[in-house]
Amino acid sequence: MTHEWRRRHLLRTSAMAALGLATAGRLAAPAVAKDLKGTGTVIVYDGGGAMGAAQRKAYSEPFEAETGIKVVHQAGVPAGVQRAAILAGAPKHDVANISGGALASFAQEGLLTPIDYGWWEQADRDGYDLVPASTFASPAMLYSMLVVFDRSRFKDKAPGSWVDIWNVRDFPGRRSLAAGTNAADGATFEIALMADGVPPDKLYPLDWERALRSLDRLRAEVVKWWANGAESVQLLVDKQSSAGSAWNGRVDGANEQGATLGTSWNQGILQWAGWAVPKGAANVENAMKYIAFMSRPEPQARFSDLITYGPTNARAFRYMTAERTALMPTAPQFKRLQIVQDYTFWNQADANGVNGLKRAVMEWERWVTSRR
Amino acid sequence: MTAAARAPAGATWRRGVLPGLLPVLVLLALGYLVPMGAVLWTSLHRGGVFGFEAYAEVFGSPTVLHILMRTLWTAAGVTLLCLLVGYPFAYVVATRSGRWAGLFLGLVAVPYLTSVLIRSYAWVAILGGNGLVNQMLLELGLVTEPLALVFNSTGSVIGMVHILLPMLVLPIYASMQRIDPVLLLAARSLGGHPASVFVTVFLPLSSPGVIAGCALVFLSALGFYITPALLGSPGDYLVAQAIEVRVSTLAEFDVASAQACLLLLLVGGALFLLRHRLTGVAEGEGGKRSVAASRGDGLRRSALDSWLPRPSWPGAVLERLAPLAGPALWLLAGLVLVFLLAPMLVVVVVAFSNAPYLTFPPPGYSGRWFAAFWADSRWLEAAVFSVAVSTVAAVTALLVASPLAFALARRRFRGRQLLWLLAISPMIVPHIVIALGLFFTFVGLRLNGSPVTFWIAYTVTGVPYVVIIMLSALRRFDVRIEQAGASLGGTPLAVFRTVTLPLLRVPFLSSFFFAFLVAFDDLIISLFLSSPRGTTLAMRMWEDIRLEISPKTAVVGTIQLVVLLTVMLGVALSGAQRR
Repeated sequence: MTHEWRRRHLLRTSAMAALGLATAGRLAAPAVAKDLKGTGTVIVYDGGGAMGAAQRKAYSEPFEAETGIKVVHQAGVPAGVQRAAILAGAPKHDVANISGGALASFAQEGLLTPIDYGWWEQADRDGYDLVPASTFASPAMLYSMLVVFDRSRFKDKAPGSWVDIWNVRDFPGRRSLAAGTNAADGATFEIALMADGVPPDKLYPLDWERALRSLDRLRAEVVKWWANGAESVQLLVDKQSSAGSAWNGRVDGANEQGATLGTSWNQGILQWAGWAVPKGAANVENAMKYIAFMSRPEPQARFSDLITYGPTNARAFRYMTAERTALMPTAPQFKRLQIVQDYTFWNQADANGVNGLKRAVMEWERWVTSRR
Repeated sequence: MTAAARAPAGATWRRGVLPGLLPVLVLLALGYLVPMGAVLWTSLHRGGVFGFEAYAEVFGSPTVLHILMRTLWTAAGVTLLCLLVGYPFAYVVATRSGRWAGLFLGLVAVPYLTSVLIRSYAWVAILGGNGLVNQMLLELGLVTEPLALVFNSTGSVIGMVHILLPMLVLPIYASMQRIDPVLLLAARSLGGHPASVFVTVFLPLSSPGVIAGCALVFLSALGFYITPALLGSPGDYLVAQAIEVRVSTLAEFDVASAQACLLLLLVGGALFLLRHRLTGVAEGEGGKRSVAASRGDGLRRSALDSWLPRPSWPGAVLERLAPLAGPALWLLAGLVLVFLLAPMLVVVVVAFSNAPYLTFPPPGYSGRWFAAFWADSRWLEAAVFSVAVSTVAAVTALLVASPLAFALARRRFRGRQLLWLLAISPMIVPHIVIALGLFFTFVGLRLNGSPVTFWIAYTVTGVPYVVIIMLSALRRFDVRIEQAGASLGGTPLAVFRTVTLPLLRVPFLSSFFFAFLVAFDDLIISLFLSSPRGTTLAMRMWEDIRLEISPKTAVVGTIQLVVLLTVMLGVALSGAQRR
């Protein structure tokens, strides 16, 4: 199968190269892009709210205009529901959006169809520098779990690391962090270890016991262990909490609407979600075309203009302003301050056959029920 | 129904029971037994291999057992609190509110008009460190430091009692409003002090409603996880949350299923042992008992009887306190209404906010969020879809489950206790597990993506409400009234329409109401069943507020409130015209 793809890919790229020569004068014009025209429909994951709106504007509407394929947005579901749906043979989407923490196990268990990179420009595939586009998933967006604080409470000196978040003497006020049931996505275990002085390059494999001991020290200061992204920012906006953790996109969303939240890129934990085509999807070819369309730099730039999720194709920065770039977690100047979350660790089984995600939930349940 | 009245004794499956029960049996088999079979199968397989690893994991973990026990205690505590507050409130509505009863009952339903996320947000705005309550207490100088009322067990319990209280009030009200005032007058005329009359006559007569209400609250509380997660501390972690995270995040379907099966076994087993106290299912071997039970001689035989001390001393205490009873009851009813309505008031205020994000109190007011709601056709489509499937499912649940309740109450046939347990057990199993089983069943039946799946699923979730509420109503139903109707030459249908239906109006309506609401409010099942051909309003709201809580969700709650008030007004006006 891969041979066939490679051949098709080669054929197409050589044809495109010829076309490209003919139109060399019009640099990077959409006309040189691969022909994704088709018929029928494709059912794609919709992130809801601002994300869904950005998806429609940046990806779906121009995709429909260019290809004639009708895009149907369907509300996203938790990873477990999507997995059940694939196992039952009735996936929820042709183009699914699965968080990096869950993707590895989907791929391992053969629940995904390999991405057809024959529809992609090689330059775009090469542009995925931070997280490569892999056999089963094309990274959809990069976001970061950051130190966040209420600017009105920390006017002179603001927290700039997880150690500062743990330091309530110099940075007084209540705290909010993700509940451990969010497992990898909440990044609370990584945060607790860095707050305890573990250097970022020595985080993995996570020392669960040390992480929980670190959380013990902060427990009394935490007004709320947040359950979802909406809550992480709402607690700060409502002044229930004065500092903690939140995703950069949520913070920017609140600030665009008048909130006064500050963040620090230092020790941010970069996370990502990927586009994937579930086994059993009804419109595989259209799904592949849609994913290829989303790999292009122009739509990615447009998407990141609408919502502060970092483009996964670094070429997209060419189409973005310096001000907008400075908001992106993947902006060249911030990349080195952050840590890319190690999803391989999170999905690896230990000696007892328990992977990191399950271990996190079990440790968390034990912690909340036994320790005071 | 009159057939039942004429020959209540010794009915068998062949003689008449089966035809009436066929629809509900088919429904429960397809929509509950098969999915639960799939769940049981899942709990016994890991990686496709049969085994007990999942159960070994559950039993091997003190944490899981601890969480399970805490869930049972929390549910019991919440039930008790609801009873302490809800019984006097129902009493005021049933005995003192006169023609305002309808209004009171409508207001009781208000907590259900918003999504759980925005309802929880409203509670935070009220109970939080700088919330309304603390501001007021600080202002009055009653406290110097804000009280911790939320993000701990207090907040979790307040949130749960708030949403569960209506489930207790309505069944109790239903049984109270059918207590014949003549009985109370008779007791008074025999020299009983009002307080003694209350304890010896009124209280026992209302016991079926109390039992039904407590059962509804307790069983619902077992499935709670969003409210404790949003308003409680991490220590308020209940078993439904453990199951949810295993399905949604870890995709550990075997362990989730094993936990659900264990919960079902524990609670189902306890209910089965207590069935004689809890149910209105016909008992005994001879035919007399079931006639007697329905004849209202429960004064001597009430289920509560054996639990209460002989009523002399509470009666005496109440007699002393009697002069205070009226004002105290009204005060309590007022406080309960404030408690039930307060979050909704916050929601309405937020709906008219001019702020681009959720903040309370809003900096200013506008209609921008209403405009945003009307401008988005997807929300309207989802609203129409939700109302449609919820209504159809609630009507179906009423139609198929009422005959079951009648049969259980009046006839004795083999396996009726088990059938009762089967019919109410969809309330015991957390909905996410039922949803998982249903989804696999529907895909197997090639129904995936069809709105029919919602219809079946929501009918199944509605059945327990109908059975519990109708059974409690039928426990005090005097069959001789129907017999009189029949003896006067009424056809069975005519008797049902002119006698049975009017007498059971309140239980029918409250059954429908809860069956509708449990469907309308559902998010979990709809996460599994939604498709481009059908997405519910709850799911639209969830999708919209997972990342940011926008005031648009408050708009939905406000519109629902207006609809409810309009319907109530319409009912009140048409009632006035008839009079």
